[in-house]
Amino acid sequence: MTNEHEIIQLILSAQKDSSAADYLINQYMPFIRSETSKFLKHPIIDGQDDDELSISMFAFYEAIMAYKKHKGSFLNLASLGIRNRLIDFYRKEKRHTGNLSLDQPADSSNEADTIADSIASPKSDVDDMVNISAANQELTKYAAELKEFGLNLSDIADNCPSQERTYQACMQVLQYAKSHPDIFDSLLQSKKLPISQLTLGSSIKKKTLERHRKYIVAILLAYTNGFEIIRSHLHQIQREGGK
Amino acid sequence: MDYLVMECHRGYAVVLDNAGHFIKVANLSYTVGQTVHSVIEMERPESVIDFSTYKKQFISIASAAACLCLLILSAWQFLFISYGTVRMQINPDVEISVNRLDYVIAIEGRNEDGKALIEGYKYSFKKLTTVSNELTDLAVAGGYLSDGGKVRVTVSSSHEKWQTKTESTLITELKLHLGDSIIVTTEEDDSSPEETAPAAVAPIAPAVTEPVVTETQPVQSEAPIHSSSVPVNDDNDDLDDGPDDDVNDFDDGADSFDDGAGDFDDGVDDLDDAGAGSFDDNGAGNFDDGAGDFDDGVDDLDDGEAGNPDEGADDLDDDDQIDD
Repeated sequence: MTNEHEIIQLILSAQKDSSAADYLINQYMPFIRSETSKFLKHPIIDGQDDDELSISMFAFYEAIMAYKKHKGSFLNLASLGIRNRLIDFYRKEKRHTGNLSLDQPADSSNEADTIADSIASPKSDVDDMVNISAANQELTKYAAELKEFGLNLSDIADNCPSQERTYQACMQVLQYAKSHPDIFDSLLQSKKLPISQLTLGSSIKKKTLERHRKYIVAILLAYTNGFEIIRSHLHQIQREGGK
Repeated sequence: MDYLVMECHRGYAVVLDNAGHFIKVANLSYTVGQTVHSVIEMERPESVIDFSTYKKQFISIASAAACLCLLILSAWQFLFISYGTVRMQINPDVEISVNRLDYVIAIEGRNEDGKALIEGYKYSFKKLTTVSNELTDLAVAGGYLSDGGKVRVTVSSSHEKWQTKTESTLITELKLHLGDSIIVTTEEDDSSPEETAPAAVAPIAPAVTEPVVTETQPVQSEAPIHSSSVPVNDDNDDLDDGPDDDVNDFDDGADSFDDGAGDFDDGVDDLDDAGAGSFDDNGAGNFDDGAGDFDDGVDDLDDGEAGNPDEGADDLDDDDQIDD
């Protein structure tokens, strides 16, 4: 196990780079598993406790992002975070107690049949797989396009407006861009956001545009050609936009 | 709300909701492209604010505050910390604390009379000399101090130079303020008025011009004309050396300046050879009666006629002229 100073360096690196965060989580998997086992009061059973383990890894990642230097032990923070997340997860799960799981065995002659198998679904699994595969391809292309702008989805998620007022301002920018398609051409050509033009046209402050530049680029990009699945997913925006 | 899984990582996934929010969520074995209906959203860490500007501001404010504290501390040392004390003992015993700038910062009555003396007295923003003068005035007004009384001053400080200088200044100031009727002394020089010998006091020299006859030494009175201390009185408070004859003159006999030996005019060598009570020998009230004085004919301002400055030789005015 690396010493305290090295751990802190790894954490600070992981805060800025998602790959470094993945690496750190892999390094501390034994710790994460141990904390999960403590909570469950039994060793982790692969296949059965996957959700709990995922929750614990997620909590560990939250601890990485929340950690501040000279604020105490990181592992204590991570341990506390894992425990709290697992408690929350189980409280949510309790609400569903009494509900039947679609995955539980059906009352049929074939033990392998589940309740889900007995219910006639409007869609087939194959359709689901196709849809997912198509979306996957589109999203891979989308990520590649973002990379040309020097962006990745983790950065965009961090840059996404949390306040409703700011979110509405960004939507206003999108509406203006949709009514002026030359903006998308300019965006794709220059690989830069035309902030001045958008400021003038949308009446949104330049400061707002600059502060949430990454998010606005991602949203505008989704409305260029080749990203129909993403656009169709954004039906709530389209409904509110009225266009 | 539906969530489109955009990206998957070891500890989290990025999803896009229907409203266009990109969110980091727990990766519950998701696949990119999958649509899920509920997610566990990541708690956003406190928004990352660039503290470098605030840090600089804080440093400059902290530096200014530190300088201000230092300034206040230095001023405090000068203004409010006692640099030395002065004890004034009359009968009331009072101790005065003084700061570096010689301003009084505290007064304490060391005995009952001292406490009574300073009651109600305001010393704020006053210098030591002012306070000491005012306290002695209060002592006089209160009947604690009168002519012949004594004020003992003791200056204490760990700063020797200041102590010496303050003692000297204070003694001088008090003596000037109180006059000679009251003794001002320090602890080392504790001489009482009773011990002061009149002879110790330098007599005031008589207002004598250069005598004309100089064979004998000019007589100087051995008896002090004036004493800064209370004169020694035999019985009747006359000022001469001789027996108490109830005559307040400076000589042995009659009320004149030149009646006999040992005084200013016992014959030749005084302003008035023979007569009594005047400066002239024979006549009365003029300056030119005989030899040896201003007015004996030749060598005086007026040889013949009285009031005429213009008569004889060797005078200032022989022939109607001021010069010869």
